[in-house]
Amino acid sequence: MGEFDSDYSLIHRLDPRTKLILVVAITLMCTIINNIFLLLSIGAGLIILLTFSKTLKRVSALLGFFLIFAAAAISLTAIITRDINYALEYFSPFLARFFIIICAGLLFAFTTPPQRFAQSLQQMRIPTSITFTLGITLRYIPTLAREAESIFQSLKLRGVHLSKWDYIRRPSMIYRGIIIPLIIRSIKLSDEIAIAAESRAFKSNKSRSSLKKLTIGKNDVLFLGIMIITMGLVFYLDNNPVFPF
Amino acid sequence: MTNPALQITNLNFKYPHQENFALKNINLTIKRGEFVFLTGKSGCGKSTLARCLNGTLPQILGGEIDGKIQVLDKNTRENSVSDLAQNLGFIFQNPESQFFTVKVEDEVAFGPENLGWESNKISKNVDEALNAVDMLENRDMNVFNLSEGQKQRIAVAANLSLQPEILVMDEPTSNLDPPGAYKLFEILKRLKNQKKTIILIDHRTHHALPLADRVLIMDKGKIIKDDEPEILYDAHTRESYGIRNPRVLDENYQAPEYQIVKQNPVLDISRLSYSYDNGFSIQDINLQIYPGEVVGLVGSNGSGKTTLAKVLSGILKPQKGTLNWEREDSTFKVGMVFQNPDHQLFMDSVYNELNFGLEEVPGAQLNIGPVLKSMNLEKLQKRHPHSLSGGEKQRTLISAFLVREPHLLIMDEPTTGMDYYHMQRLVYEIKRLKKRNMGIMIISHDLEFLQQTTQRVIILSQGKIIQEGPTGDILSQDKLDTCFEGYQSLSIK
Amino acid sequence: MNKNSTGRFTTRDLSFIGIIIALMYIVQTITILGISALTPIDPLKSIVSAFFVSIVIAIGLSKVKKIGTFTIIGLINGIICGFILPAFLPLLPATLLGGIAADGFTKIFFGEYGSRNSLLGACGVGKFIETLVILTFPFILGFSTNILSPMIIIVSAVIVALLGAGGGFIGYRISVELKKAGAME
Ligand SMILES: Nc1ncnc2c1ncn2[C@@H]1O[C@H](COP(=O)(O)OP(=O)(O)OP(=O)(O)O)[C@@H](O)[C@H]1O
Ligand SMILES: [Mg+2]
Repeated sequence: MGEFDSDYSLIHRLDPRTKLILVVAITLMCTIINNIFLLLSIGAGLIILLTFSKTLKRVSALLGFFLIFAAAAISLTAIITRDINYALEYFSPFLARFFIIICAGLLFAFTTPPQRFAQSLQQMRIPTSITFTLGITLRYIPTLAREAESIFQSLKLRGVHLSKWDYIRRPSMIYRGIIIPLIIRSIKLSDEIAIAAESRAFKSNKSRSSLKKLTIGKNDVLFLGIMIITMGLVFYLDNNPVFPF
Repeated sequence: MTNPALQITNLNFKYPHQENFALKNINLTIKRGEFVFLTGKSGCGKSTLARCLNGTLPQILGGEIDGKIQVLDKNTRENSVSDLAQNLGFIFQNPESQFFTVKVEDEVAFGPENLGWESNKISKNVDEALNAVDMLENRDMNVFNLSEGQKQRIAVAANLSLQPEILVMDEPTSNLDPPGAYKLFEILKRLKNQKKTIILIDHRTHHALPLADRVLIMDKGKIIKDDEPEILYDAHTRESYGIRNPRVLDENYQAPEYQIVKQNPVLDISRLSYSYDNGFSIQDINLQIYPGEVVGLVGSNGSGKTTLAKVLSGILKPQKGTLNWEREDSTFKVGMVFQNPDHQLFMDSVYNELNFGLEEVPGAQLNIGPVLKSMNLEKLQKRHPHSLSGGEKQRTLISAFLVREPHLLIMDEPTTGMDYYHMQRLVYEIKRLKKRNMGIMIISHDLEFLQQTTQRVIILSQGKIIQEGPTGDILSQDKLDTCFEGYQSLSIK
Repeated sequence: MNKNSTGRFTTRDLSFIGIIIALMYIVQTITILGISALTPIDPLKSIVSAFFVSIVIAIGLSKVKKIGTFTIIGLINGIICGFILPAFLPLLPATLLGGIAADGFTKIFFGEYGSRNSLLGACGVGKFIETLVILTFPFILGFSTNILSPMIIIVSAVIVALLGAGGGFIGYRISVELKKAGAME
């Protein structure tokens, strides 16, 4: 969650708000659409966008995982019911929708640096208290991850090697060994952060300006236009089937 | 220039749920453009005073305050911490906890953005602030990729972008290596010439004295000395208030006779190498550590000291070379005390802390009693480790390793943020630990401390041992000028 | 009711909540790696780590005390789950509704966070609602009722709620311990 080359592709350069609208709209839309071929086309469209944004490779492991899960679910049902058509009919709309939501989410996540996303929320007039808190969370996940690693090392130094079974067998080892030291650090860290913020003129109830404002550009308008037209078309086709199925 | 920068009258302060006052009857006037150096023993109230100056205490952290603090045209009673930000900037020890973004320029812009300034004005201020700390060309960098010294300079810039006239710094160099600290002081010198009022709090006196116009010494919540900087060259004054020597190498230091018997090393390291994925590596380390010996390991940040320690302690597996331990029988070989003991304390009492994980070490439980006794922890054994002072935590942790009878005890930067008094106590502990016939390795930038504890010093540079020898030979003025990369600034000129 | 519980959130509260949410992620990652990497569906993962994550939440609640804390945690956690990791939008309503329900529950029965029962109850209620929403969501996507019967959904939600309440209880005990040690206010 550190570096992020935000100018990698056209999709990367789109305003986060544009992509946000895309994710929400697609998620809502795919719950309404029933035609499996339209659903598959939406999925294919998202795959094209992922390819276009050069992120397909990086998300392929996650998608592959999902596809294996989907195939397993279908074949298991097919074996149990001895009816492959039933299994397909039963699962495919569900899996297709699931797939679409995952793709849309990944498209957003892999093309938008978290900090820029937080800034776009700030510009959408989300209260400062929320954007500030979100900003702290995003900024300090890597820091706390490093602290957690150093705590694991400290445990090893004390001859304590946690195994998988300890999570169930001795949960107290986990919260004593990991959560308590992390909490102690968190309390000190968060006090210092609060002091640093206010010492630099931060007020949780006041809106902020920004060095570089995000702006909705030509590309965004174009993208949104195409999106609306496509969605309109999909709705039309869903209600007026031109295909025989 | 008639009004003072800061005027404190009859200030008393008490933390929430505490009996005693942390600050007692402070009266102080600081002129505009003055450089004030504030020092004193740990716990004497320096940070507390600093945090009162911009209203952090009591506004953010609570507590009872009484008296008046006037900061230029505003006082801390009627103005919020954020309202005072344009008068007074505040920088503290750990750069990591002062950042809100991941990009340098965004970080410096954070303050101006809070004031809702126009982006042109913000941009201009960000440029100026970055320029003032020589970081203009790093403006697009990710803060995670900066060195500690660079991070601290960004923290300064992030305050300068609000154009405060006063800067308060609470131990800004404690986490920095000598080159990083030197660079920061260069910048402070420039800021002083630009007529900023600077209040610097530190234990390390070396760099601060040449810049200071005035020295304040605190003790038990009071300002007990307000004098010329020169008083810190007086050994008697220093010792009575627990203050470090501005000369990092003690001029009266007599190197002890090097009397380690070079036989049966507890650890024999040969041709050891380890490299990280990012390309950094330590290479071809050959080293023996003998029982009862204290070895110092020095080198600037990033020279590989902690990596070497982690390999020795088994946290990292060496890719080449061997570690031969004298006693191969036992499984537990190394104890390692990190800089911040908070990471390493887990249990709800000192006794349980020593007992933690011992079920798997047969017989070790019998050691708890004697170790508690010899480490002077008997009275504290029921206390919660996190309720102890810094020094007590360190002792608890050392004891937790001692019960397992390690062959080697490693301490990583044990004197960070430590005053003279507490450093002397640690020196005393280490001298006693030597009698246990284990090896001790101390990683530190603190040359005075190394002089007093070690018999041998190793200098590491870019992952390689470049010098090694008895402490008296290595920690000498001419070596300092030539071998310690970046340590030249510590010379006594 | 303490005046603390109705006041606005201070910067100090917010930065602590922010860090607590970051910590939830760390703890979740650690426990998921520890328990199993075998759960292919992300919603399941949050269920698996309910106990440990609830410990962290309860400590956060017991320090901040104010009603609304759980909602902020739910909202921000949901924003992150929905758009950053694992980037699955339907998790947003689940965590947000869980947070709102927990805050509402505590407001009605306890007034503010702090007592053992308030933490235990809030974590239980929060996790219950969260799981309920996550598990009913597949139906919106057209999952037939034969597989996830209402019975299974209720039972799973109750199990997760119990894990959450257990975490809340441990969180309460830890916060008492740390308060005694002076490491926490
Ligand atoms: N948050 C707090 N709550 C209660 N007591 C505190 C708190 N912070 C500090 N104190 C106490 O106030 C006194 C002064 O502490 P302070 O941190 O100001 O000392 P210091 O001079 O900055 O020490 P150091 O050199 O170690 O930084 C100490 O007795 C300390 O225990
Ligand atoms: Mg201090």
